[in-house]
Amino acid sequence: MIAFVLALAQHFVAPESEAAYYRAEKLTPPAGTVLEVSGITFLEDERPIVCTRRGQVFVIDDAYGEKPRFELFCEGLQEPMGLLPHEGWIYVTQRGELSRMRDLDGDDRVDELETVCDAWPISGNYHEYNFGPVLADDGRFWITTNKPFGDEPFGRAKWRGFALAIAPDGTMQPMCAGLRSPAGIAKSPWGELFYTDNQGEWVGTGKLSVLVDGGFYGHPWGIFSCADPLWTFTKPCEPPNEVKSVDVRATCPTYELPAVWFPYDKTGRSQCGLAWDTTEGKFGPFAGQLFIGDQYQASVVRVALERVGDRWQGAVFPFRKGLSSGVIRVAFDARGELWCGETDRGWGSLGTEPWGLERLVWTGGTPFEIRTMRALADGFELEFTRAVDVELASLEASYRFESYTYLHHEGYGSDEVDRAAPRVALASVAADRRSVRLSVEGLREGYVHELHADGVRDERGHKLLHPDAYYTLNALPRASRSAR
Amino acid sequence: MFASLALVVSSFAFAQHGSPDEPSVAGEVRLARSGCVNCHAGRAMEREPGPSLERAGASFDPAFLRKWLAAPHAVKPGTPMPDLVSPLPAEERERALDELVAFLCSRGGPFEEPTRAFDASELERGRRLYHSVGCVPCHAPQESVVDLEAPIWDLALDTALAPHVATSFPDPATKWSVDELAKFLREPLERHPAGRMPSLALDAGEARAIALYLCRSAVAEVVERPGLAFEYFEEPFASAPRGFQGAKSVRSGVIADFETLPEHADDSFGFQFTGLLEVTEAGVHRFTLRSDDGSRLWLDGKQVIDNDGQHAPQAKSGEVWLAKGRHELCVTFFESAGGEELAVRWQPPNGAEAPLPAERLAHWELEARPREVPRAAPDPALVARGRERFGALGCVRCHELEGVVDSASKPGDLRAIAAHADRGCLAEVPPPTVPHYAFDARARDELRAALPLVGDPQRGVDDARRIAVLLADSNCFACHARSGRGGPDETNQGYFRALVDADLGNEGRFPPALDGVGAKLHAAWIEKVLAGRGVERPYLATRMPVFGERRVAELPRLFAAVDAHDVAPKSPPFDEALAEVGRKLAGEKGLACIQCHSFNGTKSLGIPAVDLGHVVERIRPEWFEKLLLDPKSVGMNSRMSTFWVEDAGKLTSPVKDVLDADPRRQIDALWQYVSLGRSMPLPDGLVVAKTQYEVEVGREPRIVGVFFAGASPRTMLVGFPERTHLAFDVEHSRLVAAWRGHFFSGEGTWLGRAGGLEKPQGESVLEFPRRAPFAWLAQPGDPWPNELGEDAGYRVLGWKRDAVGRPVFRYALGDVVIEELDHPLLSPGSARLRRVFELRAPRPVSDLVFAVAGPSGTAADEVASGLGGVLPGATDEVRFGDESSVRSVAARSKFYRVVDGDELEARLPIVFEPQGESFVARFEVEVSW
Repeated sequence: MIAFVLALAQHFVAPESEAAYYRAEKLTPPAGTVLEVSGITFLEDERPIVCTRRGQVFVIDDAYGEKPRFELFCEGLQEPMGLLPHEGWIYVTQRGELSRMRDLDGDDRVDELETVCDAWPISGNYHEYNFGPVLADDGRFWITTNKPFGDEPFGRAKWRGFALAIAPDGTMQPMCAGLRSPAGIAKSPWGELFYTDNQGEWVGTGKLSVLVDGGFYGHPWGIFSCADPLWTFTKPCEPPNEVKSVDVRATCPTYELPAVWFPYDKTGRSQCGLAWDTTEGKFGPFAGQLFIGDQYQASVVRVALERVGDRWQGAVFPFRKGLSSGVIRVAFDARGELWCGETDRGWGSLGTEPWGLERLVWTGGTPFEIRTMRALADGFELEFTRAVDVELASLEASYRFESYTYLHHEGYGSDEVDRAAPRVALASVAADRRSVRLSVEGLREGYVHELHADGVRDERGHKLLHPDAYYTLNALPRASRSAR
Repeated sequence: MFASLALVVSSFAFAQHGSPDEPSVAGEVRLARSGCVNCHAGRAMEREPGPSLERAGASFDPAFLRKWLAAPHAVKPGTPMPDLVSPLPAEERERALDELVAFLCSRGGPFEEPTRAFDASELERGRRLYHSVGCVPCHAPQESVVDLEAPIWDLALDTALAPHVATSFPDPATKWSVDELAKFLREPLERHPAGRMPSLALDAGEARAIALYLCRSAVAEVVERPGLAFEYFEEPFASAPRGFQGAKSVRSGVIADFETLPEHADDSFGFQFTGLLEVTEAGVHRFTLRSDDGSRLWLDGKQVIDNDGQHAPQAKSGEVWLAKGRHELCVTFFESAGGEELAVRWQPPNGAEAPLPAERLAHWELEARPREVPRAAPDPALVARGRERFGALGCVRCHELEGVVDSASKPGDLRAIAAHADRGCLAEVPPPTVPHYAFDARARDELRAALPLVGDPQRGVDDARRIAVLLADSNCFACHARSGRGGPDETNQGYFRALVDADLGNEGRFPPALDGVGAKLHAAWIEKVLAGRGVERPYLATRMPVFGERRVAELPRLFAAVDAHDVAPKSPPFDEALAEVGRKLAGEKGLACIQCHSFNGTKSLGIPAVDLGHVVERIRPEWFEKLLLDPKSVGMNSRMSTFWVEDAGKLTSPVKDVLDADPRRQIDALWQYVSLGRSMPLPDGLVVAKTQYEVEVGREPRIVGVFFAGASPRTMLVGFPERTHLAFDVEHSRLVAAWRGHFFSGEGTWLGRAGGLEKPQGESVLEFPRRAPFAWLAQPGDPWPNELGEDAGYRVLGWKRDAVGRPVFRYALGDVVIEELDHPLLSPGSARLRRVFELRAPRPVSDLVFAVAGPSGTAADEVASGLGGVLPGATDEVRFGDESSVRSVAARSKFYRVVDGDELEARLPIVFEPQGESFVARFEVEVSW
């Protein structure tokens, strides 16, 4: 009977597509310009300004018109990876320094560039990129630094794989250690800083973590730097090898588990820039949620975070694939459109272009999606963007869970280990038909809970655009939030 | 749990390391190893000859031989060598030992001490090689990974030279002659063709270095002395590889420095200099070799300069970052015919270019402990009796030696003894009439389980079992995993190193797993790999060993039979048009294979993943399809791309406009393309049109940030319309170089992951000396400080863009803020360089001096004539030879000409004048060259 209903539904309702709800608009620079976008922000007059891996900075005039114009604001920067407007200056992170620049005479050309801080050395290794800056509530500029891969022709450098905070007077303080390839850093609307890190040695799969003062994020590369008196926190310990990530803290008390894991391939491969949807609905039904670019998959994923006890956690949802090239930067403009800065140089991507600049524009319709997923003491609550078919949404068989975690080890990435299949014991649809409470047996703290809500339909029989969600359950809420 | 299931096989010592899970497999391996068949005939088994003893006298310390023959299992637990002497009556036992030792010492003798002196650097080299090329997986490490982080000369001497902890062989220092051990390590199969010790393709120098390291506890004395050790060769060389490929040196000695060469022939000779170089300040060091003919220079085992080949005097330089402390230095040099010359110079950070100074050079003299080896020829009668004994005890059955007659009794064949396998050698307490093998209970059980299978016609049928036996027998499992067994074990993983850190994770340092290898690789390629003729992973430090044919000849067929039996073979007919579609798919607008894979030696844009030009020779097409469809299905989920995306319930390719985005059809096209092998035309985007990287200078100056050789990794290049360009080192606040013509093409900085060190790309390059532009000097002739940047009190402030787009660099020295604008000035012929400075201080300043030196390395006449210090007469213009000059254009002071070291400098004392609250100096100079 159920199978019959499902078959009918599939038969009559055409599949929907991501692009129907979020259209990609491409911006084309003048011929000869290589626009490997590595930073995007907006000037006071709302014009976009982007930097590129080749060290150029462009202001874009008529950005939404037929023929956007790219004005060369500055060049000669070394691998700038982020832009931040502040007090009339544009702050920019280069390989060897945090700089700020400005145009004094209004001709859209840089007139001066000041070195704010160059207190970290560099070794001449290609992978020593720096990300940010982000202006934190403490008034300091935060950046994250990659660890090198391979030759260091100018010698091994300190403070690789760190989050560094730089005061306006240029004083630098290393704040967090053990990062690997922290390609995205952003401030949340409530002030905490988050960063993304990429799968590899000591990182089981891509992750999103809160930056905590003195926190250690698992990679031993940079630990030697902490002998320097600039490091004022507990010295990180050498991490244990081949243990489950949830168990690292047992021997490394300053180790920080991520808020969210991004299961490999299912939700991306290389998470980079991130931006909170502060558009209050201009970008569709996901206001307040987090959007993250993926370099390899040329895609954007969506994350709904929640705080349980003293831990951040939440769910990852696929959102929009099929962009032109690897998405390493995302930024919301004042119109509520999501700008995507793209490059795949050196790493490859599923996109068919080597670089690009695109905007994702909400077309106004409401896709049928799991809007958010919240943990309960004995299960999860799913909130949908449309009213659901009550009969189907009440069936336990409409949902399937798997759970697993990752190894903390030197090997490159980790398999999903210690797998189990939590059982949905009860599914109850709320009166407004917009949410469902799932009572689930076999929840495990510290594990990813992968949900396939394949059986859920909206009232007109539409399937979910993305029936999958990946919830990192760091902590179970107390019983007051339990399912009925 | 895992360990107990795994087939953990140490090649030599079952007793210590456990044995395979199936007793009969372990027994079969043991049966072969113990050479049972050499005495007990076995129908289906080949003889298992032991190592040749033809050179026993030259190779082994007689004292060791005696100990070994008397109690082999005490010397080396787990050895297949039986104790043949113990069963003899006590008084005969001693006699037999005397005779056997005398006889063996007569073969190839006498025992010799090392023929050459050796140096610490060779010892260090052997130590590194032993722990990286693949000795450790079978023989266990001799030092911890942590200890290996420091060079041997940084360890305490008694630690450095301590005898090794017992591993799988007795301390070679008590057994081997260094030279003979080196020969054995180099060509193990020559001495023991049927053995399990494989060749690791060591060259003579490498083999000797490892032999020295292994015998290090025989070193009696180490003295550190000044100067470098050298070895002198007299042969017609055409190049100067390290160790001259095992050539025999005719003389060795010590030189204080490279001022003069030691005595040598007129032509056809070579030198190798080794020792330690002391570095007092960490940083980038530049070395220069000027030679006729070729020369090379290594530091810490890494080649820094290759100035090799036959040529007239020619200089080449190289840079390397060195930590403070001592570093291993090696210089080779050869002369073919004609004139000869060798100069070795360096430039330490913040220092001037100079010959390598004697006070920074040292070497270790290591003296071998003289061993008490009888030099007199052994008594011929004793030798004769030893020969007889060698035959009578049956030694000769394993160690064939010419002139020895086998007179031992013949026991029953293996099938026959299987029926009463609790007797003879396999008895719990073997009778005195048989050799003693010291089998423990497990070994006996395993052998008993295997014996009935010998000659069983069914035995050869189970190919999977045969693979297990062969892989266990040659201990392939020490490096390779297959079917859940083997692979680098946890304790040894640190010794598997990558030669280059290529962001490949463990795949960049572990030998590959062999699961499904027969379905993946063509049997012919497996054969090539096993014969040492196929290396697809040049980044692994661990080398693929070459085993004797009898150990591995069956493997290619067996792998194919076991792994590929359920996969339908594919052999699609060649389709040229489809191959072209595949080429497009491999390129930048397709699936972009070029991001990670090389193509016939043309490097990928990213990591050095497998070369696709070699795929057709190696990979089976059906496996290729499987891999591309789903990398997880062949265990390559994390590193290989999964290209296909699910769209409306169907897998489709992200490349929409090719072959209907159908993954299978696209894979077929890619196969057609890679099947072109060495004739593959390159995909689009791999070799990029140079124009994509060319920075064109139009009406406005162009600026690019780069890593720059000889400067810092924070260097800005400025290209000017006047076709004269600059490199400015931001980190060190100094002008590095100026050149004319071509400005910059950015492949090194922007192609793939890039990270190259850039150099001036045009012509007529003017290099400025590596020193700070300003210094606090009481007298203009005082020595110029060597420090740069922050160390010299400088601070980077940034830059401004002037009205025509030229960068004005801003930096501070102490409390003086300096703005520097360097730009070309059109003039007939070629542009000059105008350097404009404005300095601002909050106080009166009188001791600041600016310096311009001539082109690096150009010495003026005054220098040549031996004058030093400040030359008489202040001037507005200083000429450097005929080539270049500097002229003061607008300055309130004149140049002093100063000879500093062996260079002429123009030094300008800076005159400040009050301006409002502050004090300001402005001046301009012009450089012509």
